[in-house]
Amino acid sequence: MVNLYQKNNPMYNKAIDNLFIKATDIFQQTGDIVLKIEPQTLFVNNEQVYSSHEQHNNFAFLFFKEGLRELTFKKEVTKDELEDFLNLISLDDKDLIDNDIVSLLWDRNFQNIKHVVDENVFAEEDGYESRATRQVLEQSTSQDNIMAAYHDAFTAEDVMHLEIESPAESDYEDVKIRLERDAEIKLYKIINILFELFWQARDKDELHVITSITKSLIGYLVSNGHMENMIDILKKISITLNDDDLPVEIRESLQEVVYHAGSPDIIKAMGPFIDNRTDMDEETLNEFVAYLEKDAIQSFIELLGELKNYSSRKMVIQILTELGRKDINILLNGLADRRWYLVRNIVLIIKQIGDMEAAYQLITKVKHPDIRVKTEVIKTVGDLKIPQAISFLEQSLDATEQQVRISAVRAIGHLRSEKAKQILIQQIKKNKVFVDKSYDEKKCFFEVLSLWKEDDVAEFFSGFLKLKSYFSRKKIYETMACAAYALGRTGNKEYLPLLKKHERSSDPVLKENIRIAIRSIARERG
Amino acid sequence: MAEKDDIASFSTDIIHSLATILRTAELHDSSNDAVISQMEKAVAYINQAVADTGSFRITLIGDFFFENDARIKYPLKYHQHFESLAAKFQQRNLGAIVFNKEIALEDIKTFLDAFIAAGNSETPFEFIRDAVSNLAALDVETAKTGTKEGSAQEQLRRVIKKTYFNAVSLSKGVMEKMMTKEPVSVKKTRRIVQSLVDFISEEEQFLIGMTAIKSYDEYTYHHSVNVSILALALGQRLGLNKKELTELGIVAFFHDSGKVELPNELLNKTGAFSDEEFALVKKHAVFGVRALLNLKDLDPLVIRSAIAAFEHHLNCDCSGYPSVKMSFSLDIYSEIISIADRYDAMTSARVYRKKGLPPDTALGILLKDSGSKIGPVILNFFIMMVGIFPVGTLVFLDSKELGLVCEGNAVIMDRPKVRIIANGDGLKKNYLVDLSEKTPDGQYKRSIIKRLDPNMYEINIAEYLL
Repeated sequence: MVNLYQKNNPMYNKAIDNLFIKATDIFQQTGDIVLKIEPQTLFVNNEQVYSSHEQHNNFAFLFFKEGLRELTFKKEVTKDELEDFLNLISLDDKDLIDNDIVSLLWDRNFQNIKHVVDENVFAEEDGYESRATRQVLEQSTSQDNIMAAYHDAFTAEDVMHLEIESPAESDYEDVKIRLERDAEIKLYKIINILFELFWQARDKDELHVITSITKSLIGYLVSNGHMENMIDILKKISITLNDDDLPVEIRESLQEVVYHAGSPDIIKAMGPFIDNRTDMDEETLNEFVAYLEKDAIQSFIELLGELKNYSSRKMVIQILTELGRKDINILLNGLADRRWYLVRNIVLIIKQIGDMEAAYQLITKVKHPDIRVKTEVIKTVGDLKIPQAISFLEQSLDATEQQVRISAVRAIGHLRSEKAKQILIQQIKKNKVFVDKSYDEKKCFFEVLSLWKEDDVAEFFSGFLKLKSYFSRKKIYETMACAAYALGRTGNKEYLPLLKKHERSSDPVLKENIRIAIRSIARERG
Repeated sequence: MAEKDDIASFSTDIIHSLATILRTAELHDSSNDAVISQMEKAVAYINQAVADTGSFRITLIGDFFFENDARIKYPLKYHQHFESLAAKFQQRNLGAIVFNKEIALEDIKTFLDAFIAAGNSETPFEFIRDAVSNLAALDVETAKTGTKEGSAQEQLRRVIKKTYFNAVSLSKGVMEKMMTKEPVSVKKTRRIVQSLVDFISEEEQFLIGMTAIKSYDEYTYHHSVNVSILALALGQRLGLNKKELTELGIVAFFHDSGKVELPNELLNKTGAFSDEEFALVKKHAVFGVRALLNLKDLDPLVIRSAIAAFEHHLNCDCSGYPSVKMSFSLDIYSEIISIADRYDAMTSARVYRKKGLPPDTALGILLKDSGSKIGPVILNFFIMMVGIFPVGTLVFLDSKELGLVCEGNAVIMDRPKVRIIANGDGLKKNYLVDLSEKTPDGQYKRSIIKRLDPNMYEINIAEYLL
């Protein structure tokens, strides 16, 4: 039951309560319960109360193999003790790597659960004690030797009485301070020791062993969130590597440690700490990354795909923005991943790095079909104003997804070239197709085009305000509304009369956009 | 009902206040306001404990106080109070005070007056017993009944001997496994060390005595266990709790693990080492780090063991080995283990030195290094623990008897228990005397006047200590 449910589960608590009530009943009838333990059987008062021939899940054997021979539950046993005891015997092998039930019972020091142990189970050799005792007693001291000592004693020098002062209060204080200080595991010291070992290594084999130990230590440090110590190691290595006289073998070994610090296993182990923000703030992480080589880029890409929190991902994106500069191709390789969010984030990282060449490669490298990825690529090439991307963006205007098309329009707008302007104008001029687009998409075209603020553009917009149609009136009004809005954004006051002509339009959308446009121009005029 | 920790705290408070009252009452009269105020406090603590447990017994076993079966723990700052009260109990042959029911201020006053006055009595225990005989709430027991029954003590000592040799056997097994790179389980070591921790609180001096039994042939294995025991005893004196003691004991047990990487010919070489050989022997501190960090998955215990393996020959001033580029301030465990290691190594016969140094000579050498290679504070605690006549010292008494020190005296350091090996005529004997015993006129019955080197006369210490 204790293994089935969490401690806060009502079923768990109910089971413990019931057990305690039953145990209390038995104690009232029998007093203390003494459990005698045999390999397959448990006895109380010579009565068999448990028997199992199983090798696993056999309490009798579990106790017996650890040397436990008797367990006494005093009648004063408390519910907490009983629960703690049950938890203790329910631990699995993983929890008992360096411990056993007897050690844990000793640690707990239950007041009302006592145990008797046969320590012989831990004797490495049968009969060692009697053999060893026989050996040390082999040579009995002879009377002659005793007499010789006795005679010499009379002429021996008198004892000089050593004056040993009892420890003073300050000595106790000194010890107390040291005990408190040394209670924490001294990771910095083991790191210093390993560096001493690097210096003292006599050959490649020794260096290999020490390198391997240092790598294990790095694994331990990262699994336990000791980032400061990780940084300490890397900092020391960095300083050491700057020594021109450093023997090449040591240099190689230390570099191996640095590579290991940036390996996928190590970086992955940092994930939970980054996600929980425990022992891992941004500053610490950045300090750590500063010591890493480009090999760590792939590890961080993998980590980025695993992280659960937005803020943690943001932190790693920042790291990759810095680290990625060391080898942007590793980032580009990551674009083949199947996870859309990871690919999108890599695109974002490339944008943040601002490498035009790499960003241009996104056009061909990114194959992911997810709309969010596609729009991120379009946004990137647009934001980075890559002129060569114009054809790609133009093609994207024909994408099936409106979101992609809108992104492409905006990206084209960022290019602000004559060619870009003409592409947008030509798209709008595809009258039938354009009119049928959604209001939002049409408005985006006009709005982006209005960025040019050129006369021909304003003139182009004004043309739409002169449209008349008896069919698709709603669609036509939408287009006119978008054009009016864009015209307003050009700030060209010459078109105020034209705009005002539609001030009282029966179409609410057109009317609203006319109002906005007039206000924009008025604001522009000051 | 009060929790277990509360009772432990009452016990600590009771001992502390009794010690304080006695110290104050020795200077002032027991009707002094300060004494009365302390007495009231003591009465409150005692009555609280009695209310919670029915009856309440404080027993002195060895140098430690027990509340029923549990040793009373105390913070370091109370150490002197506990030590002085234990000494006063021992001087009065008082083994236990039993509070049968709630006591009144007058009861405790009667007891304390008797306790103080008994200091001048030839039969102090009887003096106290008679004085409190009319009190229903309070009773006293002699040290004889207060300490463990003879047979129970003998039985315990048999178990300790067995555990000691099991530990040596384990040490042998562990080293052999490390040599052949087989996996080593820390479980067994932990179990053995936990037993030693239990024994050290009850039979500290006996367990220290076990370390005096040196085995020439199996020095390395005995040495690991001996260092572990001496470290535990010292750790206990320094106020480490059970968990810390277990950790220290395990760390000490593994301190010489690096020796498994040294060739056997070198370890068993009888002659002097060449410079090259000695340089290799010194590498065992470094080999130890490697061996331990490769022993199993890293954890705080392994890391701490590796640190101690590296530092145990380094010395406080870093003048030892291995030579280091950085400055190291020794971990307190390393310092403890270093002292225990040096003491056991010096007092043991080795392949290159057929006879170990006499324990007192070894202490003298340690003292010479105090303040430079060895920290004086921890060394002082160590000497207080092993005594100025450590177990195994061959002594000549003013009674003209020759004996081996077999149990230290924590209170009067130059008055240990001695196993007499030759009577006043130089004839071989085997009986125990306690040098703190006095004649009816208040003089000590026997005193140490000379000491000799037992190894010089091939006196087999084990014959008398086992």
